[in-house]
Amino acid sequence: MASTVSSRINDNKALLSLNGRFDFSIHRDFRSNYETILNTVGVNELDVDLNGVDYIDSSALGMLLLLREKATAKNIKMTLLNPKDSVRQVLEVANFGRLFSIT
Amino acid sequence: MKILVVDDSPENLVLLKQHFIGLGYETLSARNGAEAVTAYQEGQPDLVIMDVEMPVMNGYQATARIRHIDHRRWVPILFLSTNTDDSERTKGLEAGGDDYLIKPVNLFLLNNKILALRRVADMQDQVARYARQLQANLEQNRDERLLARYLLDHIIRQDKAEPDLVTSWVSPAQHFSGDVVMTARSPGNELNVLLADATGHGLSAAISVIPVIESFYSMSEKGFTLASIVRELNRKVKQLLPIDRFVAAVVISIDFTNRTIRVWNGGAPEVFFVNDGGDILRTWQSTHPALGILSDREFDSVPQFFNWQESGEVVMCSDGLPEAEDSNKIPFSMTQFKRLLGRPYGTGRFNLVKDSLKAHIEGAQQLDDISLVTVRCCMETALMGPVEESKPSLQSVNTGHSCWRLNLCLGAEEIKRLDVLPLIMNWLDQLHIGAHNRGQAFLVLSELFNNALDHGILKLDSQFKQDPNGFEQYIELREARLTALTEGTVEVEMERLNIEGQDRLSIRVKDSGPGFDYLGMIAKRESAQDQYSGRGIMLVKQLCINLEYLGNGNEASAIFALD
Repeated sequence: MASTVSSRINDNKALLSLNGRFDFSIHRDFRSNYETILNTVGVNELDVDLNGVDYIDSSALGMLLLLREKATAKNIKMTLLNPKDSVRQVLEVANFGRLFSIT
Repeated sequence: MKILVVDDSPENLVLLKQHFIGLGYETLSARNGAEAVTAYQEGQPDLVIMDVEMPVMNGYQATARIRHIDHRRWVPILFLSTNTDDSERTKGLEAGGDDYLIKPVNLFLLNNKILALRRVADMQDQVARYARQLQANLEQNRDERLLARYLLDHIIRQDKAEPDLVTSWVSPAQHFSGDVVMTARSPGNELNVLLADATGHGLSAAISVIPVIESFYSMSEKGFTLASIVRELNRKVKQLLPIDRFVAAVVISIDFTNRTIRVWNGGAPEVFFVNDGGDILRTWQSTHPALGILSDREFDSVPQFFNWQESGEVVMCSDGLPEAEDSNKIPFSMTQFKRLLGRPYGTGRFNLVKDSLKAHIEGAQQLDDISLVTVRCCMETALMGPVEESKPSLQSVNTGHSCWRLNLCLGAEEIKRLDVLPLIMNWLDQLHIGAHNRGQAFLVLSELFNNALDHGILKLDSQFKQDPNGFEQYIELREARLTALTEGTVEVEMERLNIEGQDRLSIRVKDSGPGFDYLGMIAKRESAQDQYSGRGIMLVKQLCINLEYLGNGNEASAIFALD
C-alpha cells in the first residue's frame, strides 16, 4: 500500500495524518505538510494521527523527534494519536512515552 | 558549429562553403576522402557534408574510416550524391552515414536536415556527458566507500573481541552496517559489551555510530562505571548528530567475580538471560530512549541488575531481527525468536536462530541491519579473565622510603558526583605504575573504596547479598542512599614505597563510618558459610602481600607488590 501524508488546519488546531508505512520514503511529503502547519500563524496544537500507520521504523522516529523540536520552538503542543498496537510497541521500546504525549 | 565540406568539384565546394558561412557556421574543406579523414582528425568538425563519388578515396570509405577513428562522440555525416538508387542510399547508411540527400541540393532542405541532425547530436552529447559524470561519481563513491569501510573495520577493534565468551552475528542491509557490537574489559576485568544500532542503515548509519565507539573503549579501559559510560555516550551522540539521528543501544557490564550483570537498554528490543535449559530467567525491557535524544539533564543512566545463580547466556539483538520480513512481509517476530531460544545450551542455539532468520528472509529484501549477540555467563571462574595471584609474604612492611604519595579526601558532594576510581587510575597511569600492575591495583582499590562507600558511608548491610534475590534490592538501596547522601568522607591514600629494595604500592582507604567486625567477616568467609559477601575482600587478600584493618574497621591498609 502506498504511504500517504495529509494535513488539515482548523483555527488553532492542526491534524497531520499518516497512512501506510511510515519510513524515510515519505520524508518529503511529511516535511512539506508540517512546514505548512508550522508556518500557519495561530496554530498551537498539533495532532499527529498514526491510526493508519501499519509500520514505523527508526528513521520515522527521527522524523517525529525533528518535528517535536520544531513544534516546541514554536510553542506548539504536539500529540501522537491512536497508534495501532504494532506501532505502539515500537514507540514503547523507544520510550517515546517520555518525549511525547501519546493517546 | 564547424562543418567539414567534402567535394571533388571546386564549384560545389565554394558554393556550399559560402552558403554555410552565410548562415554563420565555421567551415573546413576537403577535395577527396583521404583529405576528409585528415581534415576531420585535425579540425574536429561537428558535422560532415560528404560527396560520394570522389578520386583517391570515395565518401563511403572515408566515412567508414572516420567512424573507426572516433568513438568518443557522435558527429553526424550527411551524404550528397547524384545517385537516386535506394541501394546506394543503403550503402551510405551502412558505411556509417546518417542521412542522404540528392544533388542538386535543395538548400532549404539541407538547412533543415542539418538542424535536425544537430539536435540529435546535442542530445547524444548530453547523454555522453551524463554517462561520464555518472561514471566519475561511481568511482568517487567507490573510493569513499572503501575508505569508510577501512575506517570502520579498524575503529572496531577485533583484537578486543572475546570469542570464548561473546558470540555475535551482524548482517548489514547495505554495504555498511549501522549495527555494531563491541567488547572491552575494565581494569578490574569486568566485561563490557555494547550493541549499538544507529537510525537507518547504510553509510549514514555507520557514520552515526562512530562517536560511541572510541568513548566506549577508552572509558571501559579507564574503569568508568556503566552509568558513567552511557551518560558520556549519550552526551556525545546528542552533541554530534542531528536531532533526527540517534543510536539505540544495549550496554552491559558483567562482573564474573560477583556474577552480576548490569544492563542499560535504550530503545533496543528486550534483552534476555537464558539459562542452559533454555528458560528465560530475566528480561530487560528498554527503559530509556535511545542515545542522543535526551539532554544530559534529562538523561537517566541508571542500569538494571541481575545476579546469576546458574550458568546461562545474555542474549540481545537489534530491532532488525524481530522486524526482518519474509517475501510476504511477515516479520520474524520476537515470539519466534524467544521460542528458538528455548532450546538447551550446547545444541547450537545461536546458529539455529541465525539460520532460521536467514531462511526467513530468503528471497526478500533486507530492510534493516540485523544483529544477534550472546554472552556466556558461567559459574566457574576460569573464564573470569587473566587475574594472576601474587605470592603473599609475611615480611615486615612498616619501614621504607616514599617515592610519591597521593592523598585524596572526598566529601559527600564529590562522592555523589565523581566516578572516583577512573580518576585515581588516571593519576596512577601518569605516575607510571606499569601496565601489568594496573588491573590488579585497580581491583584492590575498587574493592576497598566500594567497601568504604557501601558499608562505611551508605551503611548498607552485606547480609542483603546473601539472599540471591537480595542483590538487586541491595543495588537499588545503594542508588537511593547515594542520591540522598549529605555527609561523610572517604579518604584514599596511595603511596609508592621502596621497602628493603622492593617496589611497593600502599593503598589505604578510610571512611567516616562506624567501622565493622572485619575479623568476624573474614572468619565466616573462610568457613564458606557466606558465598556472596566478602568475596571481594578475599580477592584483595590474595592480590596483596598484606591487608589489615585499622581502627574500628573503618580504615583498610593494603600493600601491593609492583614489578
